[in-house]
Amino acid sequence: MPEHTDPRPWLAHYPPEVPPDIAPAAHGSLCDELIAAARNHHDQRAFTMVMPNGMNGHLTFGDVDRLSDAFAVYLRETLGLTQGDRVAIQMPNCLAYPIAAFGALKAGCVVVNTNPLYTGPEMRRQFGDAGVAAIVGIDIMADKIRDVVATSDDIPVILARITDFFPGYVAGIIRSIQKVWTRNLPRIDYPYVRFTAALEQGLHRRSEAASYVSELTADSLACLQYTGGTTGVSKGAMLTHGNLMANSAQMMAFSKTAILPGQETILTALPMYHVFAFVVNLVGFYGMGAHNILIPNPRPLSNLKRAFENYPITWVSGVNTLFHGLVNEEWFVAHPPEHLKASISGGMALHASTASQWEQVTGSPVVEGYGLTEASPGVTFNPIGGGEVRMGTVGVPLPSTVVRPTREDGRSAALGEPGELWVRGPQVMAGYWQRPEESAQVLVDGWLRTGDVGTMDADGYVRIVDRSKDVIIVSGFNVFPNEVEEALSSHPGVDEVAVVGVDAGERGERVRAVVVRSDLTLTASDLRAHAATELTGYKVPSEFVFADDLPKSPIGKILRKDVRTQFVDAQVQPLLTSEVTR
Amino acid sequence: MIGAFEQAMLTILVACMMLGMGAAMTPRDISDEMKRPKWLVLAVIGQFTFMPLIAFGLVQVFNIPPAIAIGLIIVGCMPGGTTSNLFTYFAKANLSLSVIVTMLTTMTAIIVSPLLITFYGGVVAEGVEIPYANIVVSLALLILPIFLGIWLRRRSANVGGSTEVIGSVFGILVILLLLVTWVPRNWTLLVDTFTDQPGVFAGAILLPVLGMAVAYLWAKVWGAQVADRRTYALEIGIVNGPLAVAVIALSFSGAAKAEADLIPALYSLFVVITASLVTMVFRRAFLRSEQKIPELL
Repeated sequence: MPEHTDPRPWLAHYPPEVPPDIAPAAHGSLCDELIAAARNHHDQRAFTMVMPNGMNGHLTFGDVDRLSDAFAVYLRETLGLTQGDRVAIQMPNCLAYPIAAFGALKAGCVVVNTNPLYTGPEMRRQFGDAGVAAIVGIDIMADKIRDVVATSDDIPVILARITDFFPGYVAGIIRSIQKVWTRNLPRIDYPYVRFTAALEQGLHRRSEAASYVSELTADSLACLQYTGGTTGVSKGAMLTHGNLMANSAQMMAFSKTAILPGQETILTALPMYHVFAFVVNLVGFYGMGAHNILIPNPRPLSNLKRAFENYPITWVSGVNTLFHGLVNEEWFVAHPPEHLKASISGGMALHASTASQWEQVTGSPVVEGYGLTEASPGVTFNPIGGGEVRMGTVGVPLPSTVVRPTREDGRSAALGEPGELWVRGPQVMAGYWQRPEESAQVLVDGWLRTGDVGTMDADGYVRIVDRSKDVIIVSGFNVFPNEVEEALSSHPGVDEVAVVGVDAGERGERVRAVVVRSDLTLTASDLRAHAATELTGYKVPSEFVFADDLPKSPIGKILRKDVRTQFVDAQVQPLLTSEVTR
Repeated sequence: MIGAFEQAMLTILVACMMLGMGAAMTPRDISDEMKRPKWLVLAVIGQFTFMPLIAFGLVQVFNIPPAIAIGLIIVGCMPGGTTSNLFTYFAKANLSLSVIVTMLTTMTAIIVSPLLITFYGGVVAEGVEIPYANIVVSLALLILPIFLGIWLRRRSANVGGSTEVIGSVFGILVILLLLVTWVPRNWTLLVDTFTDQPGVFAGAILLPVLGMAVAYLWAKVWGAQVADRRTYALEIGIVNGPLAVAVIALSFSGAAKAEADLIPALYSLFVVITASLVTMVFRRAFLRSEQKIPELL
């Protein structure tokens, strides 16, 4: 089989206006770009948060700029943080999010995006590893932070509300509903600062934020984005200001003709703590002056109905689950968004059937890309606006990016031959936080070894064959078997356990645990309940299989590959019905 | 039957509730229903075919004396009531269908109700008169707040959303007020009827229950979607009880009035109870059938 002769054969497939390389950043740090966007679109709406019944609050670019300055000053002057200190942000999509994230960046701090549904142990592990100096959370999930506060020395906690920056009477009504109807305001019995009070404190000195920003360069650390990577131990990918600027520039350059500055409205239903929405929606589209429609909770999908009705949405970023779900909602099919130009899919494989249904319903394309946290995250995309969208592929490498399927001996794979995807580009992370060994394993001679296996067509289109061998992808979220196995093994009745993914159609995969019990009275429900105390919902196995023995290598290592094939048709232990529908 | 103060309060509450219902809708919801008139027509036909027929059938089956039976017949010949919209809203069924059908049946009632009452009521129905003023008031109480609500939502999603929330709270108040004022006022009536005239008692319960069941099947036979079937059940089974009371007040007096009032009074209690239960069942079923997507996208 022939090898690639042209080092970047995909350039021929770029839409006419897309440059082969992005220009070096015009600004010193991402903050300068955020400030420039706010200057250019000062009075336009930057973020509107839409509740299920259409109630909303919004911030203009000017508001975001001013308030994030204030938050930066609060972090530096009141809390005494310094450049490089880590600030955990743990919120669903809400108006406080961009203020907190941009504020932390402007303070020179490092954003540690954290899933608000994390359990106490998960939070403790992540916050401990990152060494966070402050936590910005949300009141409705504030009870879980107690665990962390109790075990750490005085990490300051700042709590926002879902209703922050909403008109007063609307906030009042939503608070009343939260108190009386949904009852989701936990009692908070530890010291904390209200997010708005923190902003008050910083607001009168907000001009000082400029001095923090001037200290930052493209090499300054911007985020620790936690990921299991290829080995499964959760670690923080160090993304610099330069990485984030580069990746948002790469993705924006790639859709140049389709994203008009100051004129786009993008639906942000994916959580912004996830690297995909963080970089595409929060950083990239904000930089283009787009209006982000924030959805705090897309479940059930009818929560999106008013947002689609009331705003001229031109872009949607999502995962297969979202697109597939929407085309199965009657209201969506009856009145698909009229202004939609295109949708961007990432996180998990986009099914061909979903893509074609989506295009049929909305009359606009959904294009798939490929990325990983370690690449901030975008690596490849199908071209929008001119180039050829090739179904079943994840498109071609972004500008300034080289992708190379590689054999185990380090040589390039032949055309069409599966190999580990190696990536080079300005979006590749600086390494894993405080893990030089793991960093050295994946960053070799300027290449990022992704652990994902793919092939490349003669003209540069990439197909993913297998995402990192053992990772289970539950609707776009990576579940690392190690972590789940660890949680289950901590049950005294469990002897051995192997966790694998099983195909769940449109949803991606389900987590299945194959368990060897020492206590034979142990039931699947017991195990599920135990796992739920340690793990966030999507990581908790939905299926349990009991076995007498697990396949192992000669040195006693459990072979997940064999577990997967051997137990593919095994009988799944029944769960209580209430648990199955979760 | 009901004091002037209570009446005024109820009217205001109902208007607020309907404003909330209007604010839960958009012009598009209305136009969507207008584009499929089949379901509007079938609902109106169902309303004036099945409810009178069921009422008539119950009179025969339980051998209800004519002086009392006329109350049941009148209730059966009434148009849809506003509470049906509220129950449809809480059942998460098709609110705009329910609202439009209530409007249509109320307008149709001006001509059709007297004919039906005469047809099924026989001799006793001869003196029956229709209080047109009350129908006009019913219509106004329906149309004005609904369109004001729709306009509010269109103007501002925040004002509309707030109105919807507050309106639905008022709706719950309406239901509670109906129950709370009904029970002490009519307790002896309830107990006496149960012991002395079980047939009358049964007729008053079975009218809404059978009405809802038959309406559901009617929609199903025509191939309606589940949400529309549920809407039909609530819309057709729940009639404008106060209008029936007004008809009787205008048409009868003295002992005749007291007898004719019996079933409308019982109906107005039973319909609230049975419809609340049915609404809960529908709501649960809706939530269960909603698409489940995993915890996080």
